[in-house]
Amino acid sequence: MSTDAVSEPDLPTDPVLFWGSVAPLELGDASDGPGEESAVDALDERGQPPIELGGGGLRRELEAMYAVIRADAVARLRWLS
Amino acid sequence: MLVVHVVWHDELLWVWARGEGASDASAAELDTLLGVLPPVVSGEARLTQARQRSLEIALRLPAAGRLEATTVPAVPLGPSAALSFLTRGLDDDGASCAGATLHHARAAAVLAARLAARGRLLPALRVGTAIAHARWEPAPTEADDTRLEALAGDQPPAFRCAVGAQVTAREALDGLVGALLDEIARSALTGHLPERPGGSPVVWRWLEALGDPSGTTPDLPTTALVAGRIDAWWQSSAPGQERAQLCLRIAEVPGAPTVGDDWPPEGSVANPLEGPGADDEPPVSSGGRWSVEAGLVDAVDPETYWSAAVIRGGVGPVRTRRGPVAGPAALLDTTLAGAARVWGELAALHGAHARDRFEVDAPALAEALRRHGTALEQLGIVIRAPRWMRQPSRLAARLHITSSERSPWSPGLLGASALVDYRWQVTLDGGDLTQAEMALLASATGPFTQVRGQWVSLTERDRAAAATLLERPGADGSGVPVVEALHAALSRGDELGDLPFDGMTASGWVAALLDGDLDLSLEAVPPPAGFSGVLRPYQLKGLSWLVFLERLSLGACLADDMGLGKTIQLLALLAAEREADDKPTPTLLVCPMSVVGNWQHESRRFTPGLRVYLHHGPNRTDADELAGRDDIDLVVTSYGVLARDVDGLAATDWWRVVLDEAQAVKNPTTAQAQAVRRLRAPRRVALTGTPIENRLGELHSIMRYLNPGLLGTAAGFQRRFAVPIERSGDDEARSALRALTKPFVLRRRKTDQGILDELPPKQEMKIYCNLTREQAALYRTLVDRLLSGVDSSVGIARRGMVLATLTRLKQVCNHPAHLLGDGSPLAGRSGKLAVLEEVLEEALGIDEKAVVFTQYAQLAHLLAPYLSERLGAEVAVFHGGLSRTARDTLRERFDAPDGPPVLLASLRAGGVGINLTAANHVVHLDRWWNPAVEQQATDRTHRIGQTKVVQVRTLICTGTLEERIDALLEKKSALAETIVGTDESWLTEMSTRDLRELLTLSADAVSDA
Repeated sequence: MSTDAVSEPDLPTDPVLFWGSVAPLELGDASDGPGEESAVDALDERGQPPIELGGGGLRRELEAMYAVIRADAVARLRWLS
Repeated sequence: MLVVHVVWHDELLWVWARGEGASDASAAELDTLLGVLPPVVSGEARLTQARQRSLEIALRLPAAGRLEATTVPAVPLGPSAALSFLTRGLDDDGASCAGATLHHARAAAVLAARLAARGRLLPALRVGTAIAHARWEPAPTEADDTRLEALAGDQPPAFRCAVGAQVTAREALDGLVGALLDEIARSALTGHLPERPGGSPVVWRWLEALGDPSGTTPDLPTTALVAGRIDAWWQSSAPGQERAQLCLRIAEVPGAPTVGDDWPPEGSVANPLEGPGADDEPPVSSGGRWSVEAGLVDAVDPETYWSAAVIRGGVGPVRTRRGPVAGPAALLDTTLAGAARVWGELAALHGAHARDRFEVDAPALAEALRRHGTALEQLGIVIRAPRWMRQPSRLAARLHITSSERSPWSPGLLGASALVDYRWQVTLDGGDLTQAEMALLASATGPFTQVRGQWVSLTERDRAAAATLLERPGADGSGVPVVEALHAALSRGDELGDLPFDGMTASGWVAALLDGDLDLSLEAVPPPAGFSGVLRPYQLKGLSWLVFLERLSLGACLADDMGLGKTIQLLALLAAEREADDKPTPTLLVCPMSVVGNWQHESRRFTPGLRVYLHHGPNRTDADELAGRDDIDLVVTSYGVLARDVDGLAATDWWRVVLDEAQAVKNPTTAQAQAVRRLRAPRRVALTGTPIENRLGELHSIMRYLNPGLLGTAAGFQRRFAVPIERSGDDEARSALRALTKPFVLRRRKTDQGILDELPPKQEMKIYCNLTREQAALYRTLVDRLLSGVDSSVGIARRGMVLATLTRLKQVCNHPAHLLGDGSPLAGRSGKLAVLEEVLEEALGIDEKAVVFTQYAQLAHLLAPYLSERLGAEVAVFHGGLSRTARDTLRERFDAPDGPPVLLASLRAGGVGINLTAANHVVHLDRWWNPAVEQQATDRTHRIGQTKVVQVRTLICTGTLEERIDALLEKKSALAETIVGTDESWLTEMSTRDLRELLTLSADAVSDA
């Protein structure tokens, strides 16, 4: 371990403030309510992706990817919570 | 025990631990602590380098009141390992525990997983050097953002304490959440290879890379273009997160005398949606050609603008406050393509042969902005155009009435000076237009025109409507009665087309009339010699006002509060005109039957010289002879008789028609109202104590008679005023209506300063009475019977049962004998009666008189002989069954000092139109549940002529429905609103449960005596 004195005004020097305290996880509700749409749903509202990007084919592919991601993330949340 | 900490630095999560005595865990101890982590993958290049370089990190840690740079052993975790570590957590072996920073990192992992679970992420392509990265990036909602902000606020500073790390809490948190979210999505997609969706090879390589652990894809020549298009596409789904926005700049084409390409000047626009403010000097017309130029503006700082020419010329990177825009040319092109779907002309600005700007005619531009402006803005496109171009000016119509500066009251000026001139004026955004300006507008052909050096945009419809109004014959008038001019404001209103009515202005005495500034225009009428009483100053003013309006042939509505002497003001008017040389013929006064005698009585008292004929009773004279009689000054009749004799009464012109208690004609379809409208007279007066300004139906009905045509037809009034005011609370319509009717309605309140300063105060009190045991037993029996039977009844049967019980309960509260009707003795059986006796004894003991109101005439008859005996004084009964003569006689006797000191009056018969100022004690024996009705009854005593303090007592049986309904009224709740002004049928709609709560007798209801 080596030490040098530094002056960093942006961080507190009070150890209590510096290390913080372990507070219960207060993250609010998990969702914004029933019927919440995914980001790709929102994209869909604005129309299909440009043809240069693959048009409807790209959107279908992205939808499939979102389905996989969402299912996997739900399972992961169980581990995390 | 080791406390495990984490630090976010250089896109890695560094794990370190410290034991007791500030001894840091060694690398070996950390390895044990972390267990088996996922193998380092090639994409985590920095992690590999970091591990090769060193397994330690320099931190800034607090020591002795300052921060010291301290190097500690640490293990850097890339996203994959970090996610695995945070998901698994520490072993529960007692050797280590998580510090606050580790808890914070776990919370970040939960938020990242929640975003992924809800699909709040978007795929992106980031172009690097020779290589591009496919990434999943957060697309938080506003609520997510709030959560992130809150979590950042709780972040321990130790989480970002690496030497050289200059990041905020939010930046550190966003970094970790972004990395974890990308990892969550990427690991989920492992093994799910996408199909090739078509389009560019760059696209499917990008899709593959989104599910690949490395996340990399070759940087092909078209990668940057695709990256820009992807960004532009998904920016549209994350409003508020975009870095740059498409901007359309609209300017007059070069060549105009004062306008060049630089208008509006770059960077001079505070609000890009509005363009230069109204105060900016607008350009001068140069023939109506305008240019539309495309560019990008910084989404955070819209004053920063890059033109299409600059962007396409590749002059330099487009750096916004939120960071550099990847592929700005592609972003410009993509967003322009979207905009061109809305406004086709914009297609010229994108594609292979894109121009930097195009020109358009003023009409086409105006039409495009009108049709597409909102849609383009909804796409996030900034339109920089002068404000006047986006918001057409409004033309409106204003009525000007001009009258003589001298009052028409002035002798010798009656006639011509009472007439006015009026004309319509077209206004532009509130300012008057001259005829020349109007002609200019009318002759202009384009959508934009210059007026007084200002550009304005007008709709063709407005312009045509204004021209039509001014060109129509008869739009102006001269030498007409003021009511005709005012009528023009309304009746012509229908002919204004789309032009809104912008109020009216007036000069001369009409201005004072419209402003309600009566003092300026009223010439005081001296108290007539034939009036034997003292007119208070406000009554003299009322008299002057009546004279003033009649001189102008205007109908007047005197709507003073009850008790302020409307009757004597009217009598004074009759006396005054008989002292002038007017040689008036009889005035016809129509009033409710209950006050016919009161008029005669008051006339005898105040205008004994006035010859009054009561057109009433079976022996009344032929109606058609009355109007021309020279031996009668005032014919008084009731609304009921009028309806029967209308053919005769409407056969000739009356000198004047007066409607007393004019609210009686509020329903225009009744026979009474129809009969009233047939009465002909050049002078018309309505007397009412209710605030008709707030009751639109009444207002129209009364005004319809007073000043025919002023408020137009019922249907037109409904459409123009009643519906907007009553349904939408339209203040503009309310103000317009008030302005139009104000000259014709004079309303003074008792509470107005200077009106009734001399009227003695009124003390109102509630007296709570207990039930006797007999009353309570009867009450309970009735309630039980109702509650046991009401559930099995429906519809009318149920309502009938509730109403009948309600009546009986109120009778019980009054007296058991009132309910039973058995003629049984009264003494000692009613709490209310006992209180009433006390009150009356007290009043009589000091030689004062009392009026007792009940809604049951039967009760009055029951109590009168009993009270008379108890008090040793006459107790009279005033009820609706009395003939008019009997009523008049009784009232005169009550007025007399030696007359009966107590009057038992039914609320209906005694509550309106009569003067009971002989009494200064009022008792409300039972409740009507309508404070206004009770107030009206009380005001029979609290009015002009009263010299003593009026004491008003309302008797309420405690613990019964009387107390509970009273409490509801006190709360002024929505339910109370339902109660007031209606009958008691609302009770019948209550559920059984609510009825039980309302009616059930409480324990404290019964007197112990």
